[in-house]
Amino acid sequence: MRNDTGHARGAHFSAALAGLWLAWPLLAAAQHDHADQIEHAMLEDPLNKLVLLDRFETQRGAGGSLQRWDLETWVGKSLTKIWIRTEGERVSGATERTELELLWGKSFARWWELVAGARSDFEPGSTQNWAAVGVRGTAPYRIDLEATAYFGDGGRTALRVKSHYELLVTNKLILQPLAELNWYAGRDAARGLGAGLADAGIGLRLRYEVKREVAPYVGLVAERKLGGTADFARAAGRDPSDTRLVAGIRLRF
Amino acid sequence: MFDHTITRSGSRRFSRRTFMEGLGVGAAAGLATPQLNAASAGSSEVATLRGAEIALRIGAAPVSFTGKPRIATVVNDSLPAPLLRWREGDTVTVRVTNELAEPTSIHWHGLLLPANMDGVPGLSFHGIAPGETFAYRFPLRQSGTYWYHAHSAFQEQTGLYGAIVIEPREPAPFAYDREHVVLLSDWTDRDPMALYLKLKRQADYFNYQQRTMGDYVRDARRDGLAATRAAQGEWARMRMRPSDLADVSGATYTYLTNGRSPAGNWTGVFVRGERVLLRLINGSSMSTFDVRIPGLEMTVVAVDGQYVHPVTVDEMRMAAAETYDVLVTPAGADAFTIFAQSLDRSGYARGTLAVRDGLEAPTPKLDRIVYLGMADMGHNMTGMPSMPAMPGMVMPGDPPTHPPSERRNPGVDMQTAAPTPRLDDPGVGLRDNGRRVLTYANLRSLFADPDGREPERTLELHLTGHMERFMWSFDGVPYEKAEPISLRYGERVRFKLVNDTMMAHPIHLHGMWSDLEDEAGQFLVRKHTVNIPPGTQRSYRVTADALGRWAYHCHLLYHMNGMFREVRVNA
Repeated sequence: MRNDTGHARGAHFSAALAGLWLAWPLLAAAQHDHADQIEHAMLEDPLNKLVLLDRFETQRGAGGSLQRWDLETWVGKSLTKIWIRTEGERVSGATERTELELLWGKSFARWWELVAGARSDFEPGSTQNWAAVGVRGTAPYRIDLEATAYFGDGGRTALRVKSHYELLVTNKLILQPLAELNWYAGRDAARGLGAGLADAGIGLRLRYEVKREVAPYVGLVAERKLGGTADFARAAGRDPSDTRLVAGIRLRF
Repeated sequence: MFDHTITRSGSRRFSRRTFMEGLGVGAAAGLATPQLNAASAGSSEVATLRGAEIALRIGAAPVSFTGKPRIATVVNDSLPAPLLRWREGDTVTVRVTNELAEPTSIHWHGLLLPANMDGVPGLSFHGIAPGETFAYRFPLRQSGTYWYHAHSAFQEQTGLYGAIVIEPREPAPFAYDREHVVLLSDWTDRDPMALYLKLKRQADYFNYQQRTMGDYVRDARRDGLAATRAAQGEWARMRMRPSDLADVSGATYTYLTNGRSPAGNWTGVFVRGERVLLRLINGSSMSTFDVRIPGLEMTVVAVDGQYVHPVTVDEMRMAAAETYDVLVTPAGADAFTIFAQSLDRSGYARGTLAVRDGLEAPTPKLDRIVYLGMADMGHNMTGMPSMPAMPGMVMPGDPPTHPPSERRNPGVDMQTAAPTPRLDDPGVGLRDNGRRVLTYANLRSLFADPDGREPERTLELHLTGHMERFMWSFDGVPYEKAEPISLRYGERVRFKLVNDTMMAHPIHLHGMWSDLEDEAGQFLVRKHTVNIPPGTQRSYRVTADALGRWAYHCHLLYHMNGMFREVRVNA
């Protein structure tokens, strides 16, 4: 599996993203030809796209500082989309974790969308590929929920649940509580993962929407490694739990 | 160009006026700024064309309503498009030349005409290609205040709308000394397609009036924590926002009166003692206006071009595409503000009635925003429709039957439980405001039901959508995937509309009248556009007396591509 460096992988990933966005004008142009025919039906659900850099931040705590990103983007229509999601982190200038997901999404209920596709983890260690299937949507009380199951090389299984909520302090000052859980079916010593619930994190970010597209934020995150994963961390001389201050920017186009 | 007034006796008196501001500005000013309305304050008669032969050029021209230069869609270099003054009974020919780089069209809103003259691309004709001239020709079978607008892409948003006044053959049943057209609209500096895509990405993008933690605390102090939790919890469980009053707000819109921004202060002049007819038209793309003239009461004499029994009010809610003719008798001051605040209280259009240019009356403050309540959604189970049960008869007040196509439909986010017509409800934000507010229940056509027959059948249609995905449809099925509604020529049909969304939708049937009924199925008023607020079901009768293919849709521009049907009247 491992055949090149994380940096090269990063380059592939950047190229894939760039390719998608270079293809956009062509897709949009094809769409526009239709719109020129001015049939009302054709205008109803035009091809659309979203880029949400939900988190692009520096975290600083007792265990040092790190940078983290979480980007999701889609191209598609009201009920059918192609998603690209990526997240990762860098510590002291080196990429510690990079994940890239390519998913097909189909809204199947009032508030829910089914996603299915693939995920690649480029760091740490050798590249690991997973098949992904999950749901995303809005639960009652407007709680945003995303749950994805992953089936990886060598029969590995993982589950990730993310949830957040938006609390309007004012119409521009928005408090976002967020929670994330990761669970693994089996132990993976190479990556320092134990079986079962591996880590839980909560975050509280307060952003100011200068405009809808641009929102700097500050916040606090608390993360805790659990079970076998915590044991691996302790063995490596690291604190399994950490609380950090964050500062970053959220961009949405 | 002539300005004219009509004397109390009904005879016409013309005075010669020039309209440099309105027409031919491109050449005169060097900068082709149609109407120049944003920049300069004061009186500006709307450019007027009259006669049976009219030529219109649809083109693009730079405008600036906010200080930023933008390209608008203009007609004969004017925004709004010229006022067309016609006479009932005449046959008019309008040659429309497309000077745009894309296809265009003009629809004559509310006019009864042959289907191939109705101006809807794909149904009436193929649209007007760039460089092409299309000749519309139709007899004028009615009188009153109407308007015209593009039916292509989002050209209505960028300025292609204008007023039509058809003078009656018989004298009007009311007298007036002077008249003004007051055409309200909304302008955005954004590209309408980009705006639409933005709404589909984030439906609350333009809503900066959502309930905050502060509102919650205030409510809890006032109503108690339990009551506040219960009320807000209900919204939250539904995943909806009580602040969803308008999709597009003053955050991007500049609201215009006859093409002028509030700062531009369009002014209509009157002479003391005169009775003035105001022809109010909501020519906006997405805005509902609550209109009043502080210090003056308004007597409504016609609605959607058709005479009604006069009713005197202080304020009225105008849904998109509706027209209201009102009489006012300015007295006691030299200037009065025509104040048209948008339903979501995010902005307003204004103009002035004054004895001369340059005067201003105080502009009222925007009313406080009133959020939707559960009763607005037809979810108040205590208010079940209580119609006298008449076995075997379908009554307009009967509870709705949700169509199967709404079920398990990702494009439908709610269904109303117990909608009622609520014709006498002034609507959210206007209830108990200390002013006399017009409701549909106040409207009575001056004539009896012109058809007289009971409807042979009832077509029940549900207005559906998904707020967050910004999808709109009838019965959960967008136009693209829908079969036409077939009517048999000559038949009388009841359209019963049930609003399964949380927004009001002004529904417009082309080519035929919509005769609004009360709860008991009695004829109330003849209209071309019927507003259906959330939580209501309303019904009207249609006589299928016009052969051909007709458009039937929500008149909110960013809803209409989905919430649209073809109505086919077959021989």
